[in-house]
Amino acid sequence: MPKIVRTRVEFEGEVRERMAVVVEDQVLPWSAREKLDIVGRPHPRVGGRQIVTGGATYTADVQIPGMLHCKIRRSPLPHAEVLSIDTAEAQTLFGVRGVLTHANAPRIRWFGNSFLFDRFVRFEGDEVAAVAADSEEIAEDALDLIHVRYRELPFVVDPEQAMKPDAPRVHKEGNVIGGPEGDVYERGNLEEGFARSNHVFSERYETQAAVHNCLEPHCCVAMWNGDELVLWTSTQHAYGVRDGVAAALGLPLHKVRVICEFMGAGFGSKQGAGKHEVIAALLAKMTERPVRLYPSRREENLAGGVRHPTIQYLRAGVRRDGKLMALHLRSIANVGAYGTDSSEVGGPVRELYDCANVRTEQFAVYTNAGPAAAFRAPGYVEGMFALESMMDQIAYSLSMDPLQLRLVNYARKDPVRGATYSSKPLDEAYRTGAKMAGWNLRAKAQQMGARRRGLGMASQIWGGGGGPPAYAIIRLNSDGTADLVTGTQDIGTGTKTVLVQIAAEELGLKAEDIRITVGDTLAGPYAPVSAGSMTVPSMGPAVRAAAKSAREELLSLASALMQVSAASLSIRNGIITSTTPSKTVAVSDVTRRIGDFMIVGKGARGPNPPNVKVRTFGAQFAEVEVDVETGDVTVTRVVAVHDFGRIINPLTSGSQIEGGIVQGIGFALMEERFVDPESGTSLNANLEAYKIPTILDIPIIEHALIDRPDESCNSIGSKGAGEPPIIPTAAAIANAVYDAAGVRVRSLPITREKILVEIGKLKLQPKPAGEAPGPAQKRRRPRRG
Amino acid sequence: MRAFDYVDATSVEDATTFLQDEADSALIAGGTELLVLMKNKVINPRLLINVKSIDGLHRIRADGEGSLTIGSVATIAELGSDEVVQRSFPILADAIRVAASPQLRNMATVGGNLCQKPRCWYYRGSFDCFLKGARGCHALNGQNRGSGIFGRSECYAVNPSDLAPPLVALGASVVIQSPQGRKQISLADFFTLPRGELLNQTILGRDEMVVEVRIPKQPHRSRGVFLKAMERKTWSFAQASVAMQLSRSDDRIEDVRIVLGAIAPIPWRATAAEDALRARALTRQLIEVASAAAVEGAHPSGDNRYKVTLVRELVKRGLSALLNT
Amino acid sequence: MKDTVRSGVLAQRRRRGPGKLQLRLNVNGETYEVMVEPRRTLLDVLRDDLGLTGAKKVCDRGQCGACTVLLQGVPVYSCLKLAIECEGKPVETVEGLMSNGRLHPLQQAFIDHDAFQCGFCTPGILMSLKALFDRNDSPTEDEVRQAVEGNLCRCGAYSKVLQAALSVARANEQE
Ligand SMILES: Cc1cc2nc3c(=O)[nH]c(=O)nc-3n(C[C@H](O)[C@H](O)[C@H](O)COP(=O)(O)OP(=O)(O)OC[C@H]3O[C@@H](n4cnc5c(N)ncnc54)[C@H](O)[C@@H]3O)c2cc1C
Ligand code: FES
Ligand code: FES
Repeated sequence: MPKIVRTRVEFEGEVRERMAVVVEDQVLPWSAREKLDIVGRPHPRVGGRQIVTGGATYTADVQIPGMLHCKIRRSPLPHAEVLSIDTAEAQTLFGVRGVLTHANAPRIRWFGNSFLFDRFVRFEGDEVAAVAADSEEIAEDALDLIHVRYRELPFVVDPEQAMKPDAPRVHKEGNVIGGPEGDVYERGNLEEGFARSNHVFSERYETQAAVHNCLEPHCCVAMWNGDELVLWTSTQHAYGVRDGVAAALGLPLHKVRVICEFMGAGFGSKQGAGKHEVIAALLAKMTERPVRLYPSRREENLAGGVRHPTIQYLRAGVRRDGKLMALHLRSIANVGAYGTDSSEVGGPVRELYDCANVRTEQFAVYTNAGPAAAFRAPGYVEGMFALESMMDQIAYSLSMDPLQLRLVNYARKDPVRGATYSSKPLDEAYRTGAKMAGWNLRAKAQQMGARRRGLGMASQIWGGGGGPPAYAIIRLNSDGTADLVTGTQDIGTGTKTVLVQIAAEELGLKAEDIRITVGDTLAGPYAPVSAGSMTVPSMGPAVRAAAKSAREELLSLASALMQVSAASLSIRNGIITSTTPSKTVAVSDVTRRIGDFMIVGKGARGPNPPNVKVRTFGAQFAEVEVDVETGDVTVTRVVAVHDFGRIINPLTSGSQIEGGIVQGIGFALMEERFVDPESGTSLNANLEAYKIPTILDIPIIEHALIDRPDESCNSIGSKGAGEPPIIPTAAAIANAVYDAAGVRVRSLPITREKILVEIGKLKLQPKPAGEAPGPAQKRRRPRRG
Repeated sequence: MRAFDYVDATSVEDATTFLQDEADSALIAGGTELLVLMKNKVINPRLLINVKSIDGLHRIRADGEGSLTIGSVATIAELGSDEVVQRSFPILADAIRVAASPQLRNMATVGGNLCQKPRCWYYRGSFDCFLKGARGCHALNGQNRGSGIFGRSECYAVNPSDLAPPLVALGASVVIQSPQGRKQISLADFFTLPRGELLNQTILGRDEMVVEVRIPKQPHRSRGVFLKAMERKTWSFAQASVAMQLSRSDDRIEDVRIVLGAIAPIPWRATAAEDALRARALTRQLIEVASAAAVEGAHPSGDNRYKVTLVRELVKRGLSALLNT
Repeated sequence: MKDTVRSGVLAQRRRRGPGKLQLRLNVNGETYEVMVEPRRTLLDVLRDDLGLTGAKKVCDRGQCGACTVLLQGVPVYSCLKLAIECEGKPVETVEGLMSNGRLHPLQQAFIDHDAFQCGFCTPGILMSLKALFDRNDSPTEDEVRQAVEGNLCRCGAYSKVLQAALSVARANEQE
């Protein structure tokens, strides 16, 4: 029976306590020794065949007869008041079927106090009007015929400027979200901590706006069936879109169906209903035709979201022996015009190390830049870069092994709440990684002419425990195959594959005898957003519970048919076996004999364990080559060791690790959105000037998985794997660059320009053999208490 | 893209006549540059004249005496895999290998590559600037990490072509035709600093087209190097490049051309460096002198300061590679 | 003088567009006729007119490779080819990669090695590799990397793409 509990739900690094209706998990966790047939083994991707043959239908590929094409007219200015919009000419263009502006669109509230089509535009790319026409070309031609008059307003794109009291206001409430104090966390006594430090380090770090650039844009197709809306959309949360769109349009929930079968990635940028979905639905209603909205890459770069750029002032006090005495972080995240403040930049400082005196002040600031959105481990990637760069600097200046410094400050318990961890094999990750990477052999600087080789490391901490609510349904067909029906979505991470493996394992069927449905709110029950590394740990246990319930029902029927006790029965590979007396029967025999009576198993994710903290951990070691004459940086090798609890599928979890590292390399070395300070507009909103890694930028990636079930976290013993792998990469690379070239670049990306500037400061002194002290360290005299 | 008419040209005369007759027309070769500019609405021609349909214009012909004639619609992939190019003009093959991407090399033509527009963000964006007939250069006080350090004029955008520096270093010339006739000029003179009325990096007139490119026979014992620095390992325009071709007799440098790419609105001859080298024997010391000379007079404008160091190092590296050959 | 006038009139008649016109295309060995404007790209014709949605539209500017198809046997970005330029030239897309209902060895290897995540880049990468393997059935690692350097994969499946392709190369070598 469901009951109401308080459960701790952790999302994107933030832990919130909330009321939830949960169903106690009836399933005992698989123990570490349990012999599993399908879970834990490589399994090729479900849907792989469609993908490699071009037959997979992504939202981008949905075509409905009579479908119109929608294009959006966007603001060319970073901040303005829309004085008038003249659409007369556009309306008369042959093939134009509908035009939407603030004049004829319903006044739908969007983002606080603004509207779907607002009188004020707050960034270059803000929606001003939309056209639906017979073809993309006509829709585009029509955009040019819409005449908009703007009154330009003063704008601000620099977050530190935006914090000043006299800065132009992006929203009426002021630019600093939550007020001028920011979001403060404190433990211990900071002043005392610094006073008791032998050394105090103080640095400024900067991370850039990185664009998600999922290859599939934020596209959708909207179609009305009478008064019901069917919406195909590229999303990380079908249910979230359903609820958001229904609310915007004032529809009851059962009148909105959201579909997302194949999905061209999200990385955090597609977490709920967007304006584009509502606009497509409105135009479809207006024109009584299905409408497709397919943003260009430029629009995707302007309005599809970016990783919050940050400025971080980090101060660390350490004792002579390396013990952290105090950490103080002041971080400023630029959320753009409509971003949210969900990014926990201070997370790593608060919880990675055992340090008694910690204060973090997080500021999230509106500017007139394109909106920020969660991007794969939001906050932690940025925060980890600062913290782990700082740790490296401290280690070098104390002449300590950077890894040793981390062990000196190892947190056995969660430093924030003092809770014990459900498991924490970080020390093991350090050891394994160090061994694989040859950490202890690194001391000798390797030089090949101008090329210097170096090794750096960084740690990873992140959530990924998932939680309720999450549901699944399994139906057995009369031929012994099964339908696993869910409302989750596979955003490219392998969700379908992993859930089929879990269902097959628990049910005792072959994986190929199970079909999974994802991404259809009409078919599957509620499923959480595929973000926060929570899909597998949330959905996995729900699927397992559903499978268990179906299995029990099947076995009870089988026991009657076989005239043996249900307790003596087990299923493997589609065969039911009884031990006493020894008998076997195929599942399909049983299902055939019960005819069209359908066994339906229902499962729900149980609550999280009370009083333990569920975290994923890991460490990465990066080896780079820096050409100290040309500033070229080449990542030659990355070693990654991560703990995600039990590995369901080593093939897909390995892909997550590699993917995270590839994106981490992009973030470390090349990716950056440029906004022109004078005009407040984006300069490189395309994939030529905005660089993402190619196959030639990718080193040898070696990874190891701790692969030990976390039995207390949930019934499958798994934690999420999506975000952790990107967290330490940039920091490890930055530290490797220092090891190689003796320059510490504290602002990402580490470009040739920055390397050459830093090396220029060093006047090209060759790197001394062995460990060199940091070149540009500001040391503060320890204060006496 | 706005709507347009399309025509397959049957001959060079045919193509240039169309150019002359329709003021708002453009040649389309590989289309990899033209269509992007049209999609971005930087230009909106009403007629596209396809020159790939011109018989024989894609031919690459060696005359057997060491020179090569390249039809302007030969793709750069074809050029890069041409045996004569690989054997006699390896710096060109090297430049092609690191230009754009395989797909683009299969599409892009030699003529189109030499006629491509600068990659300046402001020019390609919605900014009115000198190249679009307005005043001033936004890059000067804006984001100028890609801008030039030499050849300042009213525009700071650099010439992006990877083919131009090696071709200039090889002393190539181009044959240009208009309805008025045909002429051959050196490729170095084909490129020009945009200024005054000239809103372009080439001297090509409205109704002119590039017909072919000719590379002369190189002196005996001539050697070359091409080096390119990019923001990632491939599929990127140069941040700076250097093409050099050098011949020696009795160990003295006789003939030398050093051409820098992506640091000026035109392929930039490092004449001071060439002067420092000419008639001398190549030594480590001389390389230092010449690479310092290569950046003499460089004029960075802010974010592009790194290019000075970069160019010096590339020249040094290029010459060092020639030291023992 | 007379000549130019005449050729001018004739020439003007050869202009086609700007409205829709009939084009005949050869895709995966089949002939298709479509009515499109000259400005329509090969990619849009494949996807929207022929329903061959394997090739993907990502940048529409030659910057990503998701639209890669083979034109006369060589990989090109179909977003930067006008359909009108492709009349009479064979086009191959990922939909034509299977033969007789069997997966191409590269397709099978992609499945076996998990050489994709979201899969949006996959059709383009497969076509780049197909062209490579057509020329050289046992390429080296460098050759594979160079064949795929014009295809971006945002999910970062590159190492597995490499492994998949090399596994096919090795199998071919052994034959
Ligand atoms: C993502 C990307 C990356 C790139 N990277 C590089 C790089 O690293 N290095 C590099 O060198 N280039 C690079 N390029 C540019 C590419 O090489 C050029 O777009 C290409 O060479 C242009 O040739 P085309 O035949 O496609 O020209 P088109 O697009 O057909 O034409 C380009 C211009 O030249 C004119 N034109 C064409 N042919 C002639 C002729 N015969 N006579 C007179 N005018 C003519 C056209 O009217 C048009 O104005 C890149 C392009 C892209 C999209
Ligand atoms: S869509 Fe053609 S290259 Fe990106
Ligand atoms: S698999 Fe997603 S882009 Fe390559």
